[in-house]
Amino acid sequence: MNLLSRFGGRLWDPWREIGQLQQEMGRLLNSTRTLSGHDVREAPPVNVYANDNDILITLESPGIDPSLVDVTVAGSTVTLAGKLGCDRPDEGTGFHRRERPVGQFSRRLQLPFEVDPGKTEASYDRGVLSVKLSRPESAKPRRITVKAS
Amino acid sequence: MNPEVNCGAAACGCATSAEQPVVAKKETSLPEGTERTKSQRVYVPLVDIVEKDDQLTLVADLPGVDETGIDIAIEKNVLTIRGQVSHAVPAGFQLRYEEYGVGDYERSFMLPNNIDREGIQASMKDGVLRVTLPKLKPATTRRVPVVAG
Repeated sequence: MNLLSRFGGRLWDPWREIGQLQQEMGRLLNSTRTLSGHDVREAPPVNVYANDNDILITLESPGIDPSLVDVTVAGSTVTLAGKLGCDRPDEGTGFHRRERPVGQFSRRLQLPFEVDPGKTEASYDRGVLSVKLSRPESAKPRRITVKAS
Repeated sequence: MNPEVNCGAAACGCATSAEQPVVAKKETSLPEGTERTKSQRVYVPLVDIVEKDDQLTLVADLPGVDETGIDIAIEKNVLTIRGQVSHAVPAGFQLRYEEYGVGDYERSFMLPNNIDREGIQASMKDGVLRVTLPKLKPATTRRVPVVAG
């Protein structure tokens, strides 16, 4: 009918539409910058350390209540959940600055092998939650000697 | 932002709906042309500042720092907080995945004139520094009675 006039006189091009949609989606997904221009990351941040026997996950979570932290190990997935900002000062006359994060958090990490939940240790020190997971025998690095034929 | 958040309860079972985005750690800036003598990175700690009738409270997140690594200095009108982390990498482990940098902290604040500098107190728990800055009592006005004669 009057498709031509509806699309500004140009023929409707589905590929252009899809391209625009893709651009739009990409823009939405990549909009990880706040108005202040800081990078926004998943909260709270984790670091993963390893040695031959263990994996150590550390989570920067100052001021949390360690008794409310939930560490769950299921197969090769480790979930760390808790709550930030419980020590925030009471609302008084007013906040001049409010930068510290507040709220529930849950971080799920996928490990390349199954871990034994019985050998998992969690500790909380200086605002850093550490979870130590033991590598199963099959995931320990092994030195293979090369036989000369 | 989310004024309904109030973690006064000891159990901290309060519900938070709106979670604010977490900002990635930002390194401190140095004056033009200067360099640090140590290779350790230095970050800006996130703070909350609350004003009440009789005091200001400053709460800063310094994960990885304990009370022995904290240095608070007041010079002229500037309050400077410095925090030194004790271990960058856990002993015997190698970093495999990094979301946060481990380093020292430094941030300075200009103090208002009505702060009682002698009464400033600070405490450190679970990587959270709490500085209490009491306000000076306002000078009481003294009335001089005028006698007729």
